[in-house]
Amino acid sequence: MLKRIVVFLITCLTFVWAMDMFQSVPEEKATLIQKGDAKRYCPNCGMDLVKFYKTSYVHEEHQYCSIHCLVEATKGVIPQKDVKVADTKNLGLIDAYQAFIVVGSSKPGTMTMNSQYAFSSEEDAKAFQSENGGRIVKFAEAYTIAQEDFPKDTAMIKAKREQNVYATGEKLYQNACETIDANRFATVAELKVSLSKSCRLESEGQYQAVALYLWDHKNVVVSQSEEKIVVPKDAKCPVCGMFVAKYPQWAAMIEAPEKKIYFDGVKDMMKYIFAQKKNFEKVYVSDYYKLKKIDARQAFFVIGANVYGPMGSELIPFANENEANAFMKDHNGKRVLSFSEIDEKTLKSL
Amino acid sequence: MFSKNLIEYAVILLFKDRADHLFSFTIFTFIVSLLSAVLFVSDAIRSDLTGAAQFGPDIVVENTLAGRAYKLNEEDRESIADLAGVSAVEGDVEGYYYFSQQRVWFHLIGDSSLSLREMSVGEGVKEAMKLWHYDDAFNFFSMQGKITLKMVKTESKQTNILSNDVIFMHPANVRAILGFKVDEYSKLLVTVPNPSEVGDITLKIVQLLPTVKATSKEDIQASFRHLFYYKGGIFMILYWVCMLAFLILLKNQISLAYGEKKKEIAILRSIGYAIKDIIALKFIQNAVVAFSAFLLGVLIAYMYVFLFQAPLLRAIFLGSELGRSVEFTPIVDLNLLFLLFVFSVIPFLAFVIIPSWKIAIADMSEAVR
Repeated sequence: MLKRIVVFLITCLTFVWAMDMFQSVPEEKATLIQKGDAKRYCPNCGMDLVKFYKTSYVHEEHQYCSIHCLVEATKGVIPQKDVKVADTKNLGLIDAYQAFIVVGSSKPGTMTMNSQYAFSSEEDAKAFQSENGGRIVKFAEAYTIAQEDFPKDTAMIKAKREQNVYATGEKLYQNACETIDANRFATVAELKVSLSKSCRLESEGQYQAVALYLWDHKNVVVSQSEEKIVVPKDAKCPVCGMFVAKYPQWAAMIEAPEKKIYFDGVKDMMKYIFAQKKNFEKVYVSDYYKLKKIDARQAFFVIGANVYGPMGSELIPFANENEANAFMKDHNGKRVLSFSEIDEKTLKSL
Repeated sequence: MFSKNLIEYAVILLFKDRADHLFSFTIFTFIVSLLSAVLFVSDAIRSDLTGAAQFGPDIVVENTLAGRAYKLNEEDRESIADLAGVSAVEGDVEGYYYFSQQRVWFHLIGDSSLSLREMSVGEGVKEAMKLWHYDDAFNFFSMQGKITLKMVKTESKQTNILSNDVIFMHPANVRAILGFKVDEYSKLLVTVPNPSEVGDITLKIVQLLPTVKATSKEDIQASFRHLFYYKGGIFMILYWVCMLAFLILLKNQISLAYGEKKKEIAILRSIGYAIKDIIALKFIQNAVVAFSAFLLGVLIAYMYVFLFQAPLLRAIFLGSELGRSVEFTPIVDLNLLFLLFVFSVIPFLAFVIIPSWKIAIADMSEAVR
């Protein structure tokens, strides 16, 4: 049963929306109490309230798609009044405190693995229970159950989104949308409504994916990865005497306490280190593929390749081992070495 | 170097013979301005294009199907992005839309700085639309139904030749109108940080996706360098015109030392002028003409190309495959200008000084008779 629910949730969260979902109702039967453009969507997760009507809750002018979102919105403090829930059988909104809620039935839940469906009369609830299992509880207990499940459900939803939704959303956003500032919107539902004006997408699921991607990434500042080694124009390599700025993709640098020393290749830098017989703290090289400044002690060096630096054969640095191996394959490299494996013999053999 | 009196006398003589010198001056100016205008235009275009290519992608990937351009999809993009050494792959959409009423093709190009309801059109597009009373908006018919876009701006007249048939719009609109799906592209723009890897990666892309055409930045720049076939066609005619004009000029220069002038030299010699004075006299006169003509020629060329945007020459230079950069950027290649100076001014001076010298050393009585 659990497996079935998980499978359902995957389909539901990747937004291949099946119209015959148990939670869905025909649009004219759903009572939507919110106002404005975003009335159709849950303010917390942006999901379509008509499609998830049967599990929806109303609290303080907001309609949530599930008790999960209600718990999230009320921050885990059970509201003492003004909560309504959709009646699974008669589809009206009823007072939640009077409702009979079937928890853990075989029917799929919305944003939770532990489904909850509310009924106005006990008979209806019992009929549902005998057919689909689960147990009948009152609102307070249902809320507590949802609260207990909350961390688990949140983790599950997050995992699903990260696995699939964000990548889809990002791609769709880049290919089909104008630039949108998610911080302008109060809720994800409003954001989703505005997307219909600034995106050209094909389905509800695509809008949802873009909305979730933008909403969950609105405060993420794209971290600029480490910059290149900046070589001053007049810097000369102390080993060979050549100007380093002429060969920026080969630049290597030792940051000694008194000054920075630049080299036009790892080979010359290693020669310098061996000649000085000092243990320099900060040693940097340029990643061959990305040209970014990387710590030499973390780098992987390829020797014997058919790519030559300004001083001939080189130790060619890479930030990760896979790239070093890929390079070695492409360019007839002999070996991949780590920083500590480089000794004077290696330099002589070059 | 020269005495003040000599210079003064040279200038007076220059004014006396102004008809002859004016002729040299005019032809010299014409040659210099023609050659340096060609120089300026080609340098400006080349520097613009190579400059543009510098900021462009390192590799452009296009797909073919049965030898024709075809779309690329997301998997192609991802497989290129997974290659070692590639830091980013961006998808681009463009293509042609047939406006059947007017029987013309519009070139749609994606530009994500425009909003979803806007487009920016070229002059020619605007006129074609106006004929059918689409004054500020146009309806595109696509598989997804009618798409109405508002004309927000017209591409400036300066870029007219190139952007005549172009419509810029948001890539999402290009997709919708031309029937590209959201994960399909007409071009992939590949970024390779290390320039020495570009060649290898270009080969790898072609190995990976055998139907694609991958063009590296170097190839693009090389094609820009060989953009104009300087050895043939209209350029050859230009060279012949210059050559002929230069020969006429040199002929005129020689004549400045014979006939009436020969007598003049002889008289000057007989009243006591040294040979070097006569050479100096000729040198001053012709150097004044040459320098002023050269400077004026370059100045005219500069104004013609960069102020007036080379009204006739640009038609020779600009083809439709050039992209949109046609506002000439003032770039002056001093080396070539110096070369032009050496090869025009020195023969110009030589062709009057050497005959003058020959006459000056010859027998005087012969000349005055």
